[in-house]
Amino acid sequence: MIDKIIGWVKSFLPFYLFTFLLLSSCVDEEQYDDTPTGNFEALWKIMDEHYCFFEYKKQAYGLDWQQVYNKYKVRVNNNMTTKQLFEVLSDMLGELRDGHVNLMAAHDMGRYWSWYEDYPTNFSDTLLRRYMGTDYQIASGLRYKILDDNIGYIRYESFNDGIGEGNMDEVLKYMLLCRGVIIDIRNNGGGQLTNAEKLAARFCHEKTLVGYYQHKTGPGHQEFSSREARYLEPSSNLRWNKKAVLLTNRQVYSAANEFAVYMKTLPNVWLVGDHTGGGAGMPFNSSLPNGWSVRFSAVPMYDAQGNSTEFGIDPDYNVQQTDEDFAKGYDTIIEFARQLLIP
Amino acid sequence: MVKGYWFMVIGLLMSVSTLGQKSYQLGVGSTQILDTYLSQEKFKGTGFTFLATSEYSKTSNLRSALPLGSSKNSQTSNWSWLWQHQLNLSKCDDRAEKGTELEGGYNLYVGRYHAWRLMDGNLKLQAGAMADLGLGFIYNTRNGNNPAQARVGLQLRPSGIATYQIKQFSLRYELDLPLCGLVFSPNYGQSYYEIFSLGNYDHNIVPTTFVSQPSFRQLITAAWHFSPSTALTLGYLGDYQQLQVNNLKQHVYAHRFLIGIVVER
Repeated sequence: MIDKIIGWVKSFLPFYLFTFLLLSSCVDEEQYDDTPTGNFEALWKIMDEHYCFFEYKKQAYGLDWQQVYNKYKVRVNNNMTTKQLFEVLSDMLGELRDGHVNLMAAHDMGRYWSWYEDYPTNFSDTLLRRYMGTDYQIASGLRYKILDDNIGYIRYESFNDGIGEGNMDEVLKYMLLCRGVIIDIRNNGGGQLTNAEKLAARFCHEKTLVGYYQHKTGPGHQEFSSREARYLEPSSNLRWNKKAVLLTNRQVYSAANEFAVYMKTLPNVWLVGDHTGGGAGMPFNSSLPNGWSVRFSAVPMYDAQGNSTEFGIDPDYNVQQTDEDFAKGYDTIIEFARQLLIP
Repeated sequence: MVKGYWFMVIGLLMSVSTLGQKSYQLGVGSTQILDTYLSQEKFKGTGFTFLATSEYSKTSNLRSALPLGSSKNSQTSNWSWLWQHQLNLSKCDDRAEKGTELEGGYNLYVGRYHAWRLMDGNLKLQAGAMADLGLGFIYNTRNGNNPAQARVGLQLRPSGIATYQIKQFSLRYELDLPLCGLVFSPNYGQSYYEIFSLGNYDHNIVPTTFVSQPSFRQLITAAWHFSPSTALTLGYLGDYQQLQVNNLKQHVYAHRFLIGIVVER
C-alpha cells in the first residue's frame, strides 16, 4: 500500500512541478510612482475600480469617468506643488457629487458638500436652545424632554454616539404618557448603521422590508452582487406604539439617511422637514503613493422599492423654516410636527 | 490469558518508541504586505516570528543518546511526523510613511514524511504532505469601514526536507509548496458588516489551488550540536503567503533570520 502511494506520488510529482512553475506567479499589484502624475493615475484607478455609483450617476446627470480622466489629466504635471495637486485631485473627485468621497492630506480634506451647502439649513442652534432649555435629560447619545403640550422630544445629533437598549428603554418609559414623540435628527451626518437599526426597531411592530444591499464583485462599473433584502425586526424591548414624527434636513446623511429610509417605511411615522442629504454608499478607504487617504462609496444601499437613496429622500411633509417664525423664536419644523401629533 | 495481553503490550511499548527532536526559534526580519481590500499600496516594515518545531518518528530500539540529526545507527521508521507552530507579528508603513498596517498570524503545520537515507546515512531526504491551518489578520490603522482583513484558511502542501550531517554540524532545508485549500475572503467590495451583521454571504469560503494561492515557504537551518542532546541553530525563514480570490490580491512576504535551540527528546 505504502509502496503504491510512493509510486503514485513519484509519477504525480513531475506533473505537479511542471504545472506549478507554468501557472503560478507572484500575486502583485501595479504601483504608481510617487509623483503628481503617478498619484493622479493611482487615484483615478482606485475610483474607477471601486466606486459603486458610476452607472447610477451616468443616468442621473451624465457622469462619464473616462471623460473626467481626460479633463483632469491635462491639469497634472510633475512640476506642480503638493497643494496644486491636491486641488486638482479634489476637483476631480468633486465630479462624483458624493459626500462620502474625500481626499485627506495633512493640510486639508477635499470634499463635496454642495448637497447641503447649497440649501437652507432648516436648523438653528439658537431655536433649539429655546425648546430644550437646560432641564433636558441625556441618555447616552439621546437628549430628551417633554414639551409643554405633552409631546416627547428626542434629539439625536450623531449615529456615532452609542445608544444602549437600556437608554432607549428609559427614554420611552419617560415618555409613556405623551401624545406623540418627535425624533429630531436634523444635522445628523451619520455614523454607525447598527445604532440606526436599534433605534428604528423601537418604532417597528412587525418584520418590515426596509431596503436592499449590494456590493461590487469586481473592478467593472457594472460588476455587482445580487441585491439582498434588508429587513427591520421589531425590538423585543419597549416599543413606541403611538404616532411619531422624524425631523429631517439636508444634512441628514449616510447612516442618518438610512435611518430616515427605515422610518419612512413604518406606518405610524411621518417625516417632516427638508429633503435628506443622501449618502447611500457605505464608504471604504484606500491610499495613494504619497500617503494621502481617499474615501469613496463602495457598498450601495437601496430603499424598499429598490431605488437608490444616494441623493436623499423626500419627507412626507416638506416644511421649511420661515424668517417670521425665526424672528418669533419658533422652529417652524418642530411646530408643524407638534400640530401633526395634536389633531 | 489477560496477563498474556499485558505482557504483549508492555513488550510493544519497550520495543516501539518515538525518536525525535524539538526546536524553538525566534526570528526577526523584513515584511511586505499587500492587501487590495485595504489599499493598493504595499506596506513594508519589520516583523518577528516564533517557530516551534517538533519532529518525531517511531523506532524499534529503546532510545539511546544519538547525535542530533543523525539516525544512521538507529532503527527508526522511514515515516515521520512534523508539527510546527508559527507565530508572526509585523508592523509596516507605506512608502510615504503616513499609513500603517499591522499584520499578525498563527500557522499550524502538520506534515507526514517518508525518508530516504543516502551517502551512508549522512544525507536524509524526506518528502511528504503538509496541512497548513492559518489564522491571522491585517489591520490598516486609517481605514473606516474596511479597517481589517481576516485571514483564515486551510491548505494542503507538498513538502520536502533535506538534512545533511557533518560531524557535530547539520544543515537542514525545508521547502513547502502550495497545492489546494480553502480560505475565507470577503468579496471584492463586500463589507464585513454585510457578512457578519446581516449574514449576506457571497463566495466567502473559496476553494484555492496553487494558481490562486501560490504560497510557499522555505526554511534553512544550520545546527551546531554542542552536546549529545542540544544544538544551537541559525537559520533563515522565507514565508511567502499569497492569495488571489474574489478579484482581491493579497501577499505577506516575510524574511526572517532565526536563532534557536534544538532539544532531542
